[in-house]
Amino acid sequence: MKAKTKYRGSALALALIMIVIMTIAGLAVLKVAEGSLIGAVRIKNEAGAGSAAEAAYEKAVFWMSQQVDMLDAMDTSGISGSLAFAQSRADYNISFASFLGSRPVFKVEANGYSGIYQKTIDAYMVQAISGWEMGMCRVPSGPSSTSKVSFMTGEIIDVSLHINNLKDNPDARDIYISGSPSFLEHVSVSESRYTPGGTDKYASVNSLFQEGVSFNQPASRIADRTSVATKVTRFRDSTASAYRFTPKANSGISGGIPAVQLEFYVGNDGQGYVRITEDCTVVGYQRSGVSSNSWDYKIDPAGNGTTYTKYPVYGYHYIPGNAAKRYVRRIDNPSDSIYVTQSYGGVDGEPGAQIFVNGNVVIGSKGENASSFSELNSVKGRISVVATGNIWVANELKVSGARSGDGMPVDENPNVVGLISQGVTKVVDPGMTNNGLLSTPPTSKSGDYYEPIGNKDRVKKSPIYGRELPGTMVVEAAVTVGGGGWGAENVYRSDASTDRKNYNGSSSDNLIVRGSITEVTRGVVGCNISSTNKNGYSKMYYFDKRLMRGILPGNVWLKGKYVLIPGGWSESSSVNTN
Amino acid sequence: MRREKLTNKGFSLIEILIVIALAAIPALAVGILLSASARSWNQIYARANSKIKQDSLAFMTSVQSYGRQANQTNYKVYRVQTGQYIEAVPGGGSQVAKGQALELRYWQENFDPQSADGTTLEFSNTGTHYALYYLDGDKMKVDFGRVVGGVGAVKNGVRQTANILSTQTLAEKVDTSESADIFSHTVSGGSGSGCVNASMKLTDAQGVSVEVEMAVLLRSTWPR
Repeated sequence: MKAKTKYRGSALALALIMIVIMTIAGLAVLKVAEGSLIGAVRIKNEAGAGSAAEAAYEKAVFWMSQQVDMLDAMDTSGISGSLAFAQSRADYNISFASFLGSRPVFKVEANGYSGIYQKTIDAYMVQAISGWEMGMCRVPSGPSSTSKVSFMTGEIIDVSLHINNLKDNPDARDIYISGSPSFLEHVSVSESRYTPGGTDKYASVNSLFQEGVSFNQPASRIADRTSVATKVTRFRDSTASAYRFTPKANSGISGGIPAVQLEFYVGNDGQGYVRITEDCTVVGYQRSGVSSNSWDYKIDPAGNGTTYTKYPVYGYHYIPGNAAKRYVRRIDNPSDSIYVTQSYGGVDGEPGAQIFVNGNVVIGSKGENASSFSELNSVKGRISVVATGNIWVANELKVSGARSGDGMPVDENPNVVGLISQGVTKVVDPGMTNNGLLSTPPTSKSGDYYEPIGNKDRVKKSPIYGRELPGTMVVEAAVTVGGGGWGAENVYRSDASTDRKNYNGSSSDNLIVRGSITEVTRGVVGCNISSTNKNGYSKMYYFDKRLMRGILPGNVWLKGKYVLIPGGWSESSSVNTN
Repeated sequence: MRREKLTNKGFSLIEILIVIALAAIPALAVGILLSASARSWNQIYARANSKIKQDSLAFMTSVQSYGRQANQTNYKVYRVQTGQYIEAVPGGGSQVAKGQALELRYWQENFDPQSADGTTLEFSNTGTHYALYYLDGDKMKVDFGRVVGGVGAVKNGVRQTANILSTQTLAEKVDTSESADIFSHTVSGGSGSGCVNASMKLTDAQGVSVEVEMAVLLRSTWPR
């Protein structure tokens, strides 16, 4: 019989020991791998959440730039949206936050999620403001044509500039430059820097933009008539009824154009006033033919925005014989009813004086009134004037109060004026004396009386109808032109007896704007000014930096770009609990 | 005759040697695995927690954080030459300006809609504080200071110290042997694009290097 062996199972014990050792080793390896993996995933998720949040922020701001009007687009609960990515997601909410002055502030809250991480961006935005922005850098020259307007050698553009995308030949720039003008402030355009073929079409002019140039910027809403109309409607609805006017022309005056005349002045008591004359009747002038009349065009209200129509420019005007149609109101007292407060979501903006005219407006007083007041053609107060038609500026328009050595109102100066038209806003010859329109003294008609405006002609001082503008024309206002361009009409000066403005010796005359300009198209201001041709004005435009603070009543800004306000960006990280 | 009963109570030498040999195979494998894992772990740990790695993360975090809050309209990349801070301009034919220092302007206080007023929107309110990133020997430092009267980190080419609130050393062992141009940005016309690139290499005493390549988009454009 075979002997029985008595092994005691040591192999099993050894095997178990080996298994334990290997398990421990395996777990250690796994732990190391897990630690590395967790670290990598953590970094990846944090970055993913951050990127997703920034994407949501960008989408929200882009959405804002597309809106006809932000306040109109929102309900008080805000606007939300979301984005989904392969390994992260994001959402955003846009809400109204507050008013700063009269400028609404919006809050964009953007959240990005990736894994357990959440990144939150809180951004407070306001609509941007340009010193000079335009739908196109062209002036209407015919019923369906425009001509380019170039910035020329010698011109100093000391104002931030924006030009919308013309959407014409993409190989051509939308800003027209002849020679080497100086752009001292930032320039932005809505078009691409590059042609479809990849050529840098700004390479030859880049050095002219001393504060840089931005491309592909959101379009100004000035070219969107719906945007303008929305602003105007809100302005109208918030204006006190006593300051909403629908002027009527005197039917006894052939071709009469209804208008309201506004004369701003500071009284001898130091208070700011406006004299309002309702139901004025403007006698306009419209040239025939197309050539050499480019300044007579504005956007055809019945068209699609790309057609233009001639319209009667201001000639002179009559005022009603009814004395009740002419009266004076203070504009510097926030307690008066002309001051209103726009509000949204239960939050009030800064109160400001508002006048709304469903028609045309003539601004300016006759120089003869200067001796009666402390300051003539001067605004003391905070006021915006909105017209559904044209605004004709027939004398200088300044703001009262302290100003610095360069002529600009100082930061603390509270006085400001805004001019918003759905037609055109033009500096005009106050007498049309060169066209025979006033070859004889105007007589009273149907109970209305001729109202001289502007200054007495320096040559034809005797007849009251000999009128002219100052040689240096100053307009201190935020000008918004929804139906064409800002410019000067009929400021011809071929000889002393027939010209329409005073002039400064042999040098060109200047149109000084201290404020801002927003216009759909360009408007003619100067006409080939040279040593022998002094027609029109040289442009001298300066941005009134006080406008940034929201001191202009009425929330009438139209830029499509929204920017962070100072201190408006903050971000935080947290654990995603959703 | 009856055969004598076998009473083996242990292993023979051969058996033991065989078992040891067999056991040594997996043990050796496990040992090698453990050793490699430990070495790998140590390397990962060392890299993740090395001084230069931590410094690079601190630098990136700081530039990202203050960069996103900063204003595009007045940041500057400087070339530093013999102590003079000169705004960097693109070289011939290039649109990229490079330098050794970066000044960011930002607002210390976040906007509060409850307490703000129109003065928040002042044209001149382009940043209440600044952060100046610069090289001091092989150290990357940052000065945090107040903007006073429009003057931030540099005036007339000289780094200002009067309004510094704090100075931090973000990174040591900055390796400039290949390039000292840590900051760069694209310039269009006369101003920067608002996106700042940073490229920095740190090399420790063991010759281990970490390279930082990052970009930050400055989010504010006030008062544009």
